[in-house]
Amino acid sequence: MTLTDLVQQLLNAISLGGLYALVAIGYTQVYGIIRLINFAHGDLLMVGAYMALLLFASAHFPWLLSLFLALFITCMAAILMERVAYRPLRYAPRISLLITAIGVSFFLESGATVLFTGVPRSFLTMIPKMWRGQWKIGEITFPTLSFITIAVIVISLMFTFWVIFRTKTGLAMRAIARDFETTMLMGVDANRIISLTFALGSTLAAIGGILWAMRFPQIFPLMGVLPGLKAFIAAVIGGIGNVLGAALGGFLLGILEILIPAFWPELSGYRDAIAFFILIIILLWKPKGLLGSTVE
Amino acid sequence: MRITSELYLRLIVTLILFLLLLGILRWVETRVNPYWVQITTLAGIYVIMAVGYNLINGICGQFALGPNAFVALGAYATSLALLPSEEKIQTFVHPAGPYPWVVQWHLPNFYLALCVGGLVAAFHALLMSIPVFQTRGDYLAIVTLGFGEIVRTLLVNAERITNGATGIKGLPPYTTLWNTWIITFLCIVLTAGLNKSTFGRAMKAIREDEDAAEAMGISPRWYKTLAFTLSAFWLGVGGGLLAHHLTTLDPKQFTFFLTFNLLVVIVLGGLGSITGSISGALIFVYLNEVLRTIEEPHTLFGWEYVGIPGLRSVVFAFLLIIIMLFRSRGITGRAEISPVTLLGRRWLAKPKPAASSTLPRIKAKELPYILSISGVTKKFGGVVAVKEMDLKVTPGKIHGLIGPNGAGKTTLFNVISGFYRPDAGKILFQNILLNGKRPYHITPLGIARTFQNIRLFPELSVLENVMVGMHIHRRYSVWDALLWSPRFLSGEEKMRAMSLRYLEQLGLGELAFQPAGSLPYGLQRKLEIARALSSGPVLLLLDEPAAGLNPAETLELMQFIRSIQEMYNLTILLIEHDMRVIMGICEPVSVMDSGVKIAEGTPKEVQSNPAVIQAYLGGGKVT
Amino acid sequence: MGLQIKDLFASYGAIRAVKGISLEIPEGSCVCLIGANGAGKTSTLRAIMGLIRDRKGEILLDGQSLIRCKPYEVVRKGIAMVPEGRHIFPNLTVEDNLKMGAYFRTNSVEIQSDLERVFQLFPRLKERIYQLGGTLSGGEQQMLAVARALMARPRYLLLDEPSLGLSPILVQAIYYHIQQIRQQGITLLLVEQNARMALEVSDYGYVLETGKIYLQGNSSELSNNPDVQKAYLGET
Repeated sequence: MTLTDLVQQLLNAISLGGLYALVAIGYTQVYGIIRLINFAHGDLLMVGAYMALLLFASAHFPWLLSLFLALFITCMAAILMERVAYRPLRYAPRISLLITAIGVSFFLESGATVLFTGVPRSFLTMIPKMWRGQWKIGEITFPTLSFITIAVIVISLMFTFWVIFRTKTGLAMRAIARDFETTMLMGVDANRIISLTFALGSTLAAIGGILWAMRFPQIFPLMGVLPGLKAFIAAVIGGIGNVLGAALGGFLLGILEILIPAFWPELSGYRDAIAFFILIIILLWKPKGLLGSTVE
Repeated sequence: MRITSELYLRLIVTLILFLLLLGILRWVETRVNPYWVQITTLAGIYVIMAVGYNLINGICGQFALGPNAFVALGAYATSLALLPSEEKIQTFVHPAGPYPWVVQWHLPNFYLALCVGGLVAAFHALLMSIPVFQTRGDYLAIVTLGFGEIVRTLLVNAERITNGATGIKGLPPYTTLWNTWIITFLCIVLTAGLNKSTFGRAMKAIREDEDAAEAMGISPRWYKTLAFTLSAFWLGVGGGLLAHHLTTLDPKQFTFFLTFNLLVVIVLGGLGSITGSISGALIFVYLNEVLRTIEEPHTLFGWEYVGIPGLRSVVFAFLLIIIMLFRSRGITGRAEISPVTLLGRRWLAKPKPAASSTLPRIKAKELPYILSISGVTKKFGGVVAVKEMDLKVTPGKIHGLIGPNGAGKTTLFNVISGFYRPDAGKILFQNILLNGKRPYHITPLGIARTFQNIRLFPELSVLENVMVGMHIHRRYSVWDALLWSPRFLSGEEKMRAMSLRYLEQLGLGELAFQPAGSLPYGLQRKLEIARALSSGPVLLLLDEPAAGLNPAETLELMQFIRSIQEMYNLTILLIEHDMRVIMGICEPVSVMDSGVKIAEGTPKEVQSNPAVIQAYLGGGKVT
Repeated sequence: MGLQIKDLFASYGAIRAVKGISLEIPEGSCVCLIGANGAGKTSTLRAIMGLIRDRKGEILLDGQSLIRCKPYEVVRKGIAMVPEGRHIFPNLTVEDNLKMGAYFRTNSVEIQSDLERVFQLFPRLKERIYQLGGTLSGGEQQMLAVARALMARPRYLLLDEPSLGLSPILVQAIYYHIQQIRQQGITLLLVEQNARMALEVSDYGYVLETGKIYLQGNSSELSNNPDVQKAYLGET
């Protein structure tokens, strides 16, 4: 393995891990508050990517505006999803909520199939020309895009942590995840915080979806399923309910997923199964995840 | 004429239904076009898969999301066993061809192959159950989903076994309308038998309340594994039939989409009901066909409809959401259309007051102390809930254990009954050391308990609650139940008669067929005691039996407790925080506060003890 | 004026916990609810706050009905509650816990001055300002819970079992603080199993039994009433 290979693999691993981290935060926060594995969260990646492409390529909006509008629409879709499908079940058995989430996920996926057909579409047009090149530092070359991906991820994560750990709303999010009822006793409108949590998580998922689509520039209705599942696994690895844990789990999972096949090429066909093996091992070894919280 | 036994009635009706099925099949075969015959066959396969999947998700209440794995395993195992060796060598694209053992893997007969396919799936379920049942709830869902994905990845990658993504084409069309539906019938009858047996009740009890089930002597782990394995068996059989119905195999058939479809089926029908699974499967398959029209172009009243491919999935996803929002129990809920509900109970004679109408009892030993606890300590993190507790319980007494809220009484109960492990000290019951034993080990030794906040199995009937209580006295094995052996029929019959008599004695006879959760609160309390008693204990632990009752109900309950103590010659250890409740019936009384025993003696002595008054009323002045 | 509860019923599923309770809490007073465990004291408070959704009857704050209000609306109208078992946020610092108490308030200058006031009342908390709530001792957690409720600047404060699980010295300390809070003009509704302590600090008391009011009267009268002891211990 040459130095360039190694650096490229590492960048690859970090950017993949970062994508998982972005998506995992949405899972972990929603689970922390309403104890729901929001299966449909992964599909928000798809919604974000399709919206960006449609606005830019079909509606001919400016590039940057398309991206921001895509984030906004995804965010609204997530808030609507919570209002319509999850909120009425707030006091129902949790299994009902989980089944509903699976239903919402399939609704988004099959709806997208009907609207956009199952045929993959190229996302290349969304990638600006200057991002497609290679950077060269000394002997090492690496793709510009992976650099930009990592930069966007870092900025997004910093913004997210700022919201969660430095703002009043973030304070309420952390409080409500720990103790729903007592948070209401603080004069907090729980529904509003839940909506904001969905908004934050879905924005991150949409960013993740757009970056994912740039990395693997083919988008299709089921594109969010696997990254979504793996991001959820990342959240479990880190300790579900714990935002820092989700980020940590995301990076860890991304790095393992790239590096294991890099060192053992014969396992590359099983790449998608690696995450589940890690999940099972983690659950048996540390049922509460690496930064385990007290959530059951 | 009246039929004396529900189970014999069941047999008769089953036979009638079978003849009816044969008639319907004959009609479908001769009068319906071949396309719909195919669809009807598919419907039968879906019924098998749904009944199997429902066993773990609905009946045992473990929300598993990996049925696609077992369908796939069954399908591949069956197909490879029936494919001639030469054909395997020819069709496999891998340069090295299939593994030799894959080539040699051969079974002579479709039905044998189906059975083996089911067993292969069941065997994998058995292996998976080890990690899967380390988890619960959401984690269990995601771990099983993970196994589904792992199996699917294996199908694609293990090219020398499965022929990878290319799949296997040109399987012989062994699956017919007749063999499918006869297997379907068999599957329904066997699963219904299990469902109505002590084992099915144990699974439902676990679904309703795992801890309470454990307190009835049921090992949750064992029964979850049983349900999971049997479920996998039927899913595997369904897979084998499906493969020889479609005549092609391809890993794409076994994605999460299959799981989603099966989930729609069992949720639509009603989680936990076999009748529901059957109706759900039929509706799903036929609706799926009918809805095909919305994907095809039509001209409606001169209006051109182009047809929207893929719209059916949207409809089913929407349907799933709507069911959960507005009718989360599906079509049937947990109810079953059984021979009894069809004909009504008037066809059933009252059970004869059989000779064996007294409850089975566990024999007590003659000892000065039935229970002796010495130096028991239990900590949670840094908090010491029970501290060096000593307690001796004399046989034949109603021993009161009282103390204010948070004194550690319930913790002590949980230590005695095996829900918590003590950090120090010894618990001896009839000279048997209980330390480290699980609740389901302790119940058969002769200790039964109730819970502070009633923990009945709310969706099971009053009768079933009591029969779950008798779980440890069952007289037949799983095989008896699965195969409807005479031992199962007569054993079940006796248990029923006994339970009905027992409920009558307690004045709950009229309510035997009501769901326990629908009873008024006071009767629920009484039923919980009755359920605990039905395991035939030597020592009964009652945790605040009067909590939430008004004074009149409390008085009645206390008389009830005294009467069962006399009737069954029990020893009772009774927790209560409200001192007034136990004054009349307990002696001696031990008082706990902050994890320590602060007093012991007759009620009168305890009541005037200054330490006790201080514990109850608080003390001191503001300085 | 004041807080009036008329014929309040509340249930959890099939279980009726509160069966027609009427209370009168005049502004500036301190009223206590006492009774044995399971008598419905906590449920009464939870029903007032709207934490039990299945309730009926009437709750009037200065004549204005609260029966349809959600918990956060009740808090914003000036009624705060310290829940039983403290329920501080273990994953937040002392400072953040207190900020949560003032969550719905917007005037940061006032919040800051209230923070100072609370720290004057509970100097121990100031020493631990950056510590996580979960690392505090039981007594400190109880102080934090009370301080957090004060940060909402309530006119009415409902206290649920402030002495639960505390050693006698800490119980005295907490009650010392409760009296100080009263002197600041906050109306108190105190729920206690520790009847002696509660009757000591309050003006008026209600004795609850199985979800109903069994006895009521001036606290000084109640503390000498043999029926109170009976309510706890039965016939002696």
